[in-house]
Amino acid sequence: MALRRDIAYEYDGSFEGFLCCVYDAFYRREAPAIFAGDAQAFLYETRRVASDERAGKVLDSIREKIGREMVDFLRLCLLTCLPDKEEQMLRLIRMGYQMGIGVLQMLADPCVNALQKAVLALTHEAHQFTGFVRFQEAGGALFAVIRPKNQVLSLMEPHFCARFNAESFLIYDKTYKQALVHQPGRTGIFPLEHFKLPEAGEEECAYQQLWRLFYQTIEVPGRHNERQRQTLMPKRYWASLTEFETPAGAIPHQVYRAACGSQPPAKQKIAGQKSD
Amino acid sequence: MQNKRKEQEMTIAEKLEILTDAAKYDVACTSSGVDRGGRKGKIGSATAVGICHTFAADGRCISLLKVLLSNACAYDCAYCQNRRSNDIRRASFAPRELADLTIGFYRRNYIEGLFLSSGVLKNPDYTTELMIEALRILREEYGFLGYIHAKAIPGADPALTERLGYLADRMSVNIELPSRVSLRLLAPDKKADQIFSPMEQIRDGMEENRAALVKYRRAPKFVPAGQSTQMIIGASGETDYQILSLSAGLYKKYKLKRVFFSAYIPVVEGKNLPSLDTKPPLLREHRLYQADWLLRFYGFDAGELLSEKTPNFNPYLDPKCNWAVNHMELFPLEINRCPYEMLLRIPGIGVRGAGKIYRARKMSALDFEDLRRMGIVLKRAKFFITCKGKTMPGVDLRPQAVLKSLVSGKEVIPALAPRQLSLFEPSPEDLAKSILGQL
Repeated sequence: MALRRDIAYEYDGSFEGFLCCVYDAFYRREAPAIFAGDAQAFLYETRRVASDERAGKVLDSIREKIGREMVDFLRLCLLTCLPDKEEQMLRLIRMGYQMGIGVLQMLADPCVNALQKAVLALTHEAHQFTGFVRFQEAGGALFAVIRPKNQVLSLMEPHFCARFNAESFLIYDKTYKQALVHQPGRTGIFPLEHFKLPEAGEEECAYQQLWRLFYQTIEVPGRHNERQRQTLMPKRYWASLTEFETPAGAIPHQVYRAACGSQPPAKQKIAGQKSD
Repeated sequence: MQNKRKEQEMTIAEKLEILTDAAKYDVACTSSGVDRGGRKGKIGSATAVGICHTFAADGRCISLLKVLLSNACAYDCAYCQNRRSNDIRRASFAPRELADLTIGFYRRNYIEGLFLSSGVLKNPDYTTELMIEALRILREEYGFLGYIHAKAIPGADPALTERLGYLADRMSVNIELPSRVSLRLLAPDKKADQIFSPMEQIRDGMEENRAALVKYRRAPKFVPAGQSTQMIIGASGETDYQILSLSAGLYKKYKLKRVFFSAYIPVVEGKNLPSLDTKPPLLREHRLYQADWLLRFYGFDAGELLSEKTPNFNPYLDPKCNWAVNHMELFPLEINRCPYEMLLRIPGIGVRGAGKIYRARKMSALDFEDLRRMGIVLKRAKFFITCKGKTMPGVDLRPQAVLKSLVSGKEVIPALAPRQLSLFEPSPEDLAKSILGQL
């Protein structure tokens, strides 16, 4: 029997909520459009799906009939910024019931491919941020703000909590308005509407200066390669990196201008090299 | 004496600037090779894949705080800007200053750890003792579990080198130049045996340590991330074949994790050196790294890539393409059937791509559209493969056309090309012809 397509589900955005959508979709034989939060004025009939004990049933079924790996994969999928991730995940689950866990290796399938790519982008971004987070110290605690594409906080949590287990720190995700908060022995991710970095003290400013100095000195000028830098560290990360900041009142340093200014220095350099 | 007083009056910022500037020509900035979780009450951890914390304007990864302990060097190596006879500002970190700086950077997540090298201050033993003190403060007083890469100073007492090895994660000894003759010519104070004996010591130490770890799980670890080395390319007259054979030998004999190449950038004038306006041979360095990867991850032998007869890499073709066009009898390969080792040998397909194909083809036979969707770049691969027995539609397989498209990429950027090519910019057609002539 064909699946009914002209319907939309709303759920709360949680993994359990999504599993309840899966439950409904299977029992009602529907292939809905799925929205986290409010579906607003969508063309189709919209149904609110509540999170309840159905989630556990679906979870057990997927674990048993497809495999534990599929559950882990779905959890990751839900953290990605893929626009139609829920619909793709539902499709993946249907395929999984037919083919088993091997479905995850069907990279040539458009649905599997899209999800695998999105998950790769997610884990890659989380890995990038383990390097690109910059803490500021204030009153002995560390604070950082990031602006990721995917929901990376939960993936970054084990890394930072192990590394700075004796510190107190807060990483604020400006995109999803969440904060990872850690104190020795206690960790959690909480929704947080607004957050502003505390004012940098004297010692903090001194360290930031030293770091900028190091960053500018370490370049080998004979090998200047703007393009490679931007490939490996896209500009969207730069805004929150200490090495590209100018402290208030200071004259913008040459490198800062070179990095963010109006005239791209890379081209000039290459042109200069050609002419001699 | 006056110099010394000056050193003491210097601010941390001045020291940092001088000693970073002096260390920046060291290539390695990797933080990989060791997995160590955090421990309660301590600071730091290490991950086997390594983490890049930022990238410098030259595109190189910055993972570690890379500085010299001191640039007041007693040696007079011709190629080095820190040589005794060069008139530059000198500075030295006190061990505690360096440890404090490292922790300050580490807590703010600027860095993954410390890369500590040094000029020879007074003598190798004294220098090593200072390095040990800095690392001891970090490890024992601050409970630092982050990554530490330390340079062994050739000529230091083996007992000191051993102590350093228990504090560091990775150690390296620079062999500096690819042959004894060049070393004698350009680095008269460094003896080849002085370089190889710490390498041997580190290798043997790691082997003993492995045996000890089997017996006692909590035995202290000696250089857990292995050792590496680097050599300067283009300051002396060795061929690519000699360099590649040397590095293959080093991997085998000393069990090195990495051999780094550094294109020679003239920083000082010298009668035995290329002149100051020489461009660094970046393309050559790039080719050597490509070949290095082929040796380590793709199952190639040095002898397959180069030989006495063709001792240098082709500037227009990467080493894998070059090998492939010389072995056209092995191609085309059927993507759905050929063994994994051969997938790795297809130009344009890397380790990740080969893995993806290997997994995906178990589920269903692949065609060109599938490959494209999986993110396999067909630009070069299309000439060497078939899918379900067919070549890609519209692909021109005449040797001229194949070569033209293999060299037409951005591989030969004028700014990167070695000097002899920069007189006229040859068109892709000319290039194809000239390479055909070479084959």
